[in-house]
Amino acid sequence: MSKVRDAVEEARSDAQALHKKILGTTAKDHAAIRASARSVATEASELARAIRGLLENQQADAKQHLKDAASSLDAAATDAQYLANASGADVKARNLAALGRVRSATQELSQAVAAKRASLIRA
Amino acid sequence: MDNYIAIIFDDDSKAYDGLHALWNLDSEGDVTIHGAAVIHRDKFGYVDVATKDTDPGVRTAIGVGIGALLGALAGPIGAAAGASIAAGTAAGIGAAAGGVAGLTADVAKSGEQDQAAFESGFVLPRGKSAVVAEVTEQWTAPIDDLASRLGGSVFRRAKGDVRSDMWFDSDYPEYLYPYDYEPTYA
Repeated sequence: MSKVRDAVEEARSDAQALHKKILGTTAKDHAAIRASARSVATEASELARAIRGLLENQQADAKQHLKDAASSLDAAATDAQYLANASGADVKARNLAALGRVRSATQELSQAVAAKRASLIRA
Repeated sequence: MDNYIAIIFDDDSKAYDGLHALWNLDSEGDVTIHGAAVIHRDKFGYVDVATKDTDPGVRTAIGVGIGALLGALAGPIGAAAGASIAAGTAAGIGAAAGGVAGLTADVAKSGEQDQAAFESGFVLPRGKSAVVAEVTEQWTAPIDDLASRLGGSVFRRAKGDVRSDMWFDSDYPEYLYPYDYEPTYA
């Protein structure tokens, strides 16, 4: 199979990068996590918006995965916005919650990539 | 096909190569990797995950989930082998269960985890390393060829079968990284 890298794969790559970014903060102190939170919230929101912009031309199975990914990213953005002003144990808890939601988004995007690749093989 | 796989290698170094080669197959579009990790089972039966992170909260989830997936991958193989050597396995079950708990012995105490840990021994023998992954593959040849080239052997089971396995732990994704990484053991 020839190498294919389209907008959906680019979105997955962006989500992977966001996951790495959040994971990189998990062992840091609260100040460092809060400092990163605002940019995480912005990136998650922008990625969710970009993914919704891809929906129109997708097949049904890929479309559902993209919708789910966008929803997870919106939730991650909410977590990140909240933790920017959080304190105590809430900081770590919200950061791990955001990490989990971005992981879910990445896996949904991965499923969308798989669906697109399968459709190329069938075509 | 959506599958869970474990590619068993003789040592960590080969498993690291296997992890990178697997993600390279994804980059080429030959398969799609949804998550993958390198693990190792030491001579005492303890299983550890090579992570890119040392946060204790993350590692707790890692320790619990890995035995469940290995047990689910063993499936009927583990059950059959267990039946044939039923006598004398109790000590082995205990050792394996402790190993699966890894850093978090307090969370690996249910009968289900004991059973999953017991069955995991048939997939990942002591002293061996493995790449475990959730994949979508249109055909099995790319991963089989990869394993053959690197000297590994492949265990493969359909995702639907694994998820319906009575020993499967729904927290599995916590230790599968959704991208390639440089593995380390903390």
